[in-house]
Amino acid sequence: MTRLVSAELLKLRTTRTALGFLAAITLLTLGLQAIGYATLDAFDEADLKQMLSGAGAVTALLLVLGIVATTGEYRHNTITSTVLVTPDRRRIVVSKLGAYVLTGAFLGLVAMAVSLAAGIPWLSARDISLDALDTGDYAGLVVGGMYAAALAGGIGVAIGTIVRNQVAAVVGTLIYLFVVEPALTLIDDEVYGYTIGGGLGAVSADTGDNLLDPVPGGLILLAWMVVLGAIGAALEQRRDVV
Amino acid sequence: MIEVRSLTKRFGRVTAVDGVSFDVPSGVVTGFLGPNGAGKTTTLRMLLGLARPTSGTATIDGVPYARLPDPVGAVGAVLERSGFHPGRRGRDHLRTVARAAGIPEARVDETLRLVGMEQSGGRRVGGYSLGMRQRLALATALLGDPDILILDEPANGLDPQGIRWLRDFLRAYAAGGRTVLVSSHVLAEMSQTADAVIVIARGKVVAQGQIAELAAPSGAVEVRSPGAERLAAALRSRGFGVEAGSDGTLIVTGAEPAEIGDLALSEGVAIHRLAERAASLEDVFLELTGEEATPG
Repeated sequence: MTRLVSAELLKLRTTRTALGFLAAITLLTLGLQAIGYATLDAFDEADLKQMLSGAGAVTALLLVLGIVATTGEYRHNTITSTVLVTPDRRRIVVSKLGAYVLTGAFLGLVAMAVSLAAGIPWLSARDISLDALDTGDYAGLVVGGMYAAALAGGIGVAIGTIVRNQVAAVVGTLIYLFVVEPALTLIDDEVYGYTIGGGLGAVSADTGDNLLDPVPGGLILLAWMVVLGAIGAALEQRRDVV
Repeated sequence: MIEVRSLTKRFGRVTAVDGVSFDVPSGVVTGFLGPNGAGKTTTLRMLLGLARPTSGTATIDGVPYARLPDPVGAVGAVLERSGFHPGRRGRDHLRTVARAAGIPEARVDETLRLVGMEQSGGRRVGGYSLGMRQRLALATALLGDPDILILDEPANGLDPQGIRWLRDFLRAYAAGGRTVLVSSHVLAEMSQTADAVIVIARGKVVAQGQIAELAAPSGAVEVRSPGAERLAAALRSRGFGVEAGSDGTLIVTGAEPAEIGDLALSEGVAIHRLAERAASLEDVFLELTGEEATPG
């Protein structure tokens, strides 16, 4: 399995997709931080966390990366070689999940590094006190950000396995994430905490309402990835590669 | 050894492959012939575990592809729709496959050399010609140094030199005691490459055997003579079948060339041409597959 995960990571490194996403993640982190300066005013603990939680903002991009990487195999028909090498498709799904969880964790770390490296000097230069945050808060931001990004990558793979059409999978996921899930709060406030977006928010120090605590939120995310991944693997076993 | 038994695939109400059975022996090139849409690709995809048969079995060395302990070392496949990421370099494509299969990276450069791509392996696939893609697909198939090569329309996109190179390559591969199964809808390609053929049409196997058997002499002799009418009458009087063509050509059935020559001498008729007619493989193919030649 290590071999297959390593091959998946090599696939990612040998196209320019990964570099594009790295650039997008960096720009998005910095951009959202700039918006934070413009809109936040209190700079209490919650505001500071929201400003510095770079990875929280990039989880949507990681979902898309997982989807693009997985559906790209169908789009470019490289899935044929992949299945010929590994006829047991469940192993393919598991190796992709592993590879994109690792990739997500790495890119989450990059986003947090960019966010802290840019944000702390910027805040200090404007004489905004960072005293509200202690070492544990920073550690929580980094770990939570990496975890959210990692699971977003994995959930993206699972979605891309279920919906092989790249455009449909990306568009459908974004609509689901930004329209359907928030709309659920209209029905019941509590429900949002159990959604993908709610789980991502809970672990990446989002300060929105209706979120679970980080640990249960993280478990919800894990459950989403495992369930969607299992559905994807079961479908893969049955479907033809055409 | 490839064994296919009663293999059937239905897509909704369409039966693409209908009870196909055949064996592919080792050490020879076997052609898998049929018009476009006959079910060749679907059959090969089921053989390789990419598509699930509706019924029937396809085994390689006695087991389905998916249960081979080392699939890449047992079978190399070039499929019509095997693809590459356009932004990935050819060599990197091979590296990803080698990595997943646990094949050392040195083999990547070896296979690039085998298909004559050592110069272009470093370029991104998006800039490749169709022929280069086919070579890269072949290199991918060769990574595991497999005992069996399965190729679906490998000559598509190759220029005449490429086709000749491929033909020589496949013959040499089979000569080493390995198995080659190669599909094509172009008969001329097969007659020079394959030892045996399996002909498929509308999802069914319509013939299989040695190329030489399928293209057996038809038993007809073509004769051209300035005294065609007189010769025809003499032949008919001896009970041979004669069909008169234009410009003094006769198609004679039932007679050996020697008999016709002797008869012509005794009749005092000159012979300008006397030739046994082999049934062209093309005729056999068109007859078997029920396809009418369409003027192109």
